[in-house]
Formats: sequence, C-alpha cells, structure tokens
Amino acid sequence: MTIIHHPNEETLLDYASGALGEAWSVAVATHLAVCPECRKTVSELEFVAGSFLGASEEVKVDDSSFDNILERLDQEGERPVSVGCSPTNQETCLPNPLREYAGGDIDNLKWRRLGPSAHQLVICSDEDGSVARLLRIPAGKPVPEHGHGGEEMTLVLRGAFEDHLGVYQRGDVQTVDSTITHKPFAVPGEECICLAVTNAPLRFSSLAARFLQPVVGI
Amino acid sequence: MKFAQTQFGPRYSDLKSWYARTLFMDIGISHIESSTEQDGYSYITGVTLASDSPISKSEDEGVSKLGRKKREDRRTHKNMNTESMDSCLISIAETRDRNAFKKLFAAFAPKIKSFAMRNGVGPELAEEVVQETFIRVWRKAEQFDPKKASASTWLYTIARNQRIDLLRKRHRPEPDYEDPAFIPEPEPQPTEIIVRSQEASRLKECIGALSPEQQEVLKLSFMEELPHVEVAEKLGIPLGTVKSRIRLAMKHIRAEIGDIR
Repeated sequence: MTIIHHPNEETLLDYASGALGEAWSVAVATHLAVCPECRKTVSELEFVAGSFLGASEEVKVDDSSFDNILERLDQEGERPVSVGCSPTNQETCLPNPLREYAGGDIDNLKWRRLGPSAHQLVICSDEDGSVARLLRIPAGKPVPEHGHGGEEMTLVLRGAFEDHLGVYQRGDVQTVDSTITHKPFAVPGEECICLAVTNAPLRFSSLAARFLQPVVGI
Repeated sequence: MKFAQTQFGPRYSDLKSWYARTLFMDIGISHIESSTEQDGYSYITGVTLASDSPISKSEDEGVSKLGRKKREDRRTHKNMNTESMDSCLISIAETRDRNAFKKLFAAFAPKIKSFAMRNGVGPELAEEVVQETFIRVWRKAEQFDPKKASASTWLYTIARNQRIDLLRKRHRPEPDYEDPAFIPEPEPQPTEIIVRSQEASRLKECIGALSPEQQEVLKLSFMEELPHVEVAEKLGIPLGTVKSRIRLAMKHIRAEIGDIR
C-alpha cells in the first residue's frame, strides 16, 4: 500500500498538541496507524513540544505530592503492562482506533441507509458540531455533487474514490474546505468505504439531494 | 569571534560605511554597538544578530548577546534532561528504582504543573494532572525507548494525554501498535540506527535555530494547546501566515535531519 495523500501539517500539529477535536482525531489517528511517514512527522512535532516542556517555567508542586503518588502506587499494586508484540500486516480491516469507535470490523457494522444506494454510520460527534461518519458507496456510484459549509476530511479504508482532485485509495486522506465543490465517485470494481469528518453540513448542488438532506441527516 | 576584537580595527565612521555595513549584513548582523577608546579606535562592544544569521548557529565563542543566550539555554536544557533523565526512566523500568523516580519527579513535576495551569486552570486540577501523569510514568516506563524519544518528549505525551482526559474530559484516539492493521516502520538499516541517536541532539539545535515567529507559533500550539486557527486569532495574523510558519518550521527541521541521513 502506498499512501500518496496525507493530512496537512497544521492538522498533524493540532493532533500532536491535543487541540484537535475528537471526531477529527479519530481520522488522523487511524491514518497514522497505516502511515509511518506521518507518524514520523508527529514524533518530530512531539520532540519540539518536549523541548518546550523541558524549558518551561516551574510551579511548585504540593509538598505531599510525591508521597501521594507513592501511596497510590502501593495501594493499587503493580499492574501488568502490555509490551508490544510484532504486528502482522492485514490490509482489509478497519485499523484501530477506528475499529473500537465503530464497535466492530468493516463487514459487521450496523449501517444506516443514506440515499438510494449508499450507507452511513456515525462514529463520533463533537460539541462544536464536528461529526465523523463512515460512508459506504457502491462500486462505480457517485456521491451527489456538493460543496462544504466548512472543512471535510476523508480517509479511505476500502476501495477508492475519485474526483477532479485525484484518486484516493486505502490510507489516503483528502482535506477540502468551503471553497471546493466536488463530485466524488467510487472507483468501479469495489465498493468504497471511507471515514468522512465534517464541521458543517454539506451543501448539495441538486435540489433533490437538498430536499433529501434532512431525511438522511448528512 | 575574534573579529569583534577588531583585528582590522575599523573606525566608527568606517563602521557606518557602505562596505562595513554590507560586510556585517552578509553574516547576519543587523545592529552594531561600538565605543571609541583612548587609542582613537572604535571597538565593537556588541552586535545583534538577525534571526537567520549563520553565526547564531556557530559553536564559536561569540560576542552576540543573542548567541550567548542561546548557548546558555542549550546548556541548562542539556543538564536537565538528556542522558540522566533517560537513564532515570530506564532504571524505573528495569529495577523499579524509586530514587530515580524521585529525581525525575523533582525535575519535571513543577514544569508539568505549570504546563497544566496554562489557560486559567487552577492549581488543584493541575496538581491532579501532575499526579496522574507520574502514576502513568511509573506504570508505563517499560514502554520508554530512548532510541525513539527523549525523556522530555515521552513525558510531554503522557502529560498532554492527562491534560486532555482531566481538563477536557474527552478521550484521545491514538494508533494501536499491537493492532494487526497497524503498519510498522520499515526495518531500519544498521547505519540508520546509529544515525537515530544523533537525531535528538540535532533536532534540539535545530529548534533553537528556528525564527522567533516560528517558535512562537509552535509554543502557543503546544504549551497553550491552541488549535492553529486560534493561534492566528491570538497573534492577530492571517491564518495563511500561521500555516506557512508551521510548514517552514517543519521543512527546516526535516532538512536538518535529512542532512545526517
């Protein structure tokens, strides 16, 4: 698997600093699980953060602070720490943390219908209105042409989709903002499953799609 | 830098000449302080370096106040958290060494408390972040790998997650290294392993060499936990400027690491 499209660096920075909302972080963390290159960028960013922490000013801790920690460790006892085992590649399932959020793997999820042929499953929604949802588009079928009220980030998990910006395969991430209108379609041959995160409802170009929007809830 | 001792002893008026200015600007000096002594010569008493000056990266004994400050910062930094803090974590992992744990706590707990108190968080809650962080440090010490991270970086990631858990009351999704779908790094070549140990010190130098504007953006992001959109608002600069500072900083960091690869 070769990933060509990555999240942009400011998104990786917000993820590394912890400022990125949970719905977006699910998509970023799932991309990181399959992208050693972006994990490297995040660890470089964390290194910068660590050096700021090392040079940070200090606030005196409570006198009892260290003893409290030891007391708690004594009370709770040693807990076994799981040590990493060497993973084997498997290119078909939902990578964690997404699989945990979805509550199952790609083939046994409780999908809900979205329009005539697509399906969706809401994974996570934030207080600021951001929503992460899995979308399942049949092979060769389009998503109606739409613009965006805000930002949209899409991570491909199975199959591929294509629009005027390019072809996106498993592991690829597309980020678009309100300036972009596109008409993505699933590449023929295999259905496309992707995780889409938005912070505002989509703006469908066609009247019929706009009419259906409140019903299907996207 | 011996030239500051004016080996070529330029007169004050010479300093103002076009030639002298060009000469100094070429090596990144933006301002010169000088005084005229009894011998009739003007001596340079101080220079200010431009942020991108090649001299500021030099290890020479320099005359620049900025350069000196950077070296001092680097020195305190070094004493605080390099090998000694790494070895504390290794002792905790291998022998459950409580003295090492105490040493690590003394060095980092006050910094983590200050980190947790940004954005108006009270001392009680910040104290909780400190304690939860060190509970996890003790339990997870086995997972610390000095080849991959320095102690301060590793502690930062734990403190950050505790800050999100306790202050934001939400979960932080992270990749799971044991998941079958996880794609590991390609096996490093033996030469790469040696190179990796140089990376940390190289990166540290490199952060000091970033422009003050780039450092400011990264600092607000990490220490105040501000999303880049809010960093732009706080600094009153366009979002595009923040994005380009982030990208330039990362490009610079990558170029530095690329050099030793």
